[in-house]
Amino acid sequence: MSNEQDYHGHPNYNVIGIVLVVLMALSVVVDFVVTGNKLLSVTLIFGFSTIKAYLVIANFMHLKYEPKLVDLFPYLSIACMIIFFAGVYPDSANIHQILSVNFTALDPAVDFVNLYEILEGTVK
Amino acid sequence: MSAENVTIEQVPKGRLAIWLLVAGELIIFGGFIACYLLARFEYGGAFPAAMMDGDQPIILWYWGAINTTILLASSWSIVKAHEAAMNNELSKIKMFSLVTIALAAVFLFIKFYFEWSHDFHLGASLRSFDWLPTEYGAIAADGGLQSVKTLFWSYYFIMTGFHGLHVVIGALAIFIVMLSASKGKNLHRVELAGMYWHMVDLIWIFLFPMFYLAQ
Repeated sequence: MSNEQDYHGHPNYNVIGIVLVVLMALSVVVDFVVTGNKLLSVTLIFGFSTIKAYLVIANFMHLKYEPKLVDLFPYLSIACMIIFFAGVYPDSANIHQILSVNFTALDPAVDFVNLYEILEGTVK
Repeated sequence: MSAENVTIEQVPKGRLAIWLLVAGELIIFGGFIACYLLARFEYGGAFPAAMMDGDQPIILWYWGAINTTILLASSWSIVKAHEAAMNNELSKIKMFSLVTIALAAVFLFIKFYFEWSHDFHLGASLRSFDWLPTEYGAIAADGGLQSVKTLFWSYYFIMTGFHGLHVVIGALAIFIVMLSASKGKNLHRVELAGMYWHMVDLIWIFLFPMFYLAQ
């Protein structure tokens, strides 16, 4: 293979592979052990996942050896997801609150038009 | 050429193309994940309840843990194939590529044969309520759990199914690249196929805790 095709360095793939499996095992352990504090367990589990994702992108996909501009490809994609979530979540949560208050009080025979009118009235 | 002084113009076009593809795939799966999280936060405890058959979980954590280990091992094996390509070790390219494909096959077998058939057997399905009045009646009858159940299982089957499709595509790409690389041709493509494969692994790294842990 020419140097132009393989210009980046090569980390110790065996060590990284072992670290990834250990992090996966830790996620499972946390899920079973940290049962009293949901916020802590979810933070730890997704924290481990984020570290795993970084190790894969940086070392197996060799992103850490690429020019900085290439970093934009994966990180902007992830930013898109976060922006989408942050933009929609407040509205999504608000609508659910309205629906959950009114659904159980409605007549099961209601049709779509009536439901729309009822919701419209609720919003007002 | 060393990595420190390489500029964007000097990055091989094939690598840039794969990074673009990876970015596109991350946006697609990022959208899925964001929608799932929106629903997960919106319905609170109803999602974990939707995963239960009585007091038994339908989704079994150990299948997810085994499949995660398999995908991580396959990521290691394909990067070893890339290392072999760098050193012109043709027999090793073939061996590590075949190991990766075999691991992909085991992943799919566990996912679809053991897991999905188990899920279907316990009543999980992609079926939705027909339309609003019917759904509305069900919501009134059981506090909405049945409709949240169908929502959860739709997310689960669509996301894991779409990921499974990517596993199939990745394994096929690795097989096609292996055919020429094991003869000493187009060795750089081993890394490109590997980058796609790592992206498949990357997505699973987040699907695993979302569906199997952290409930």
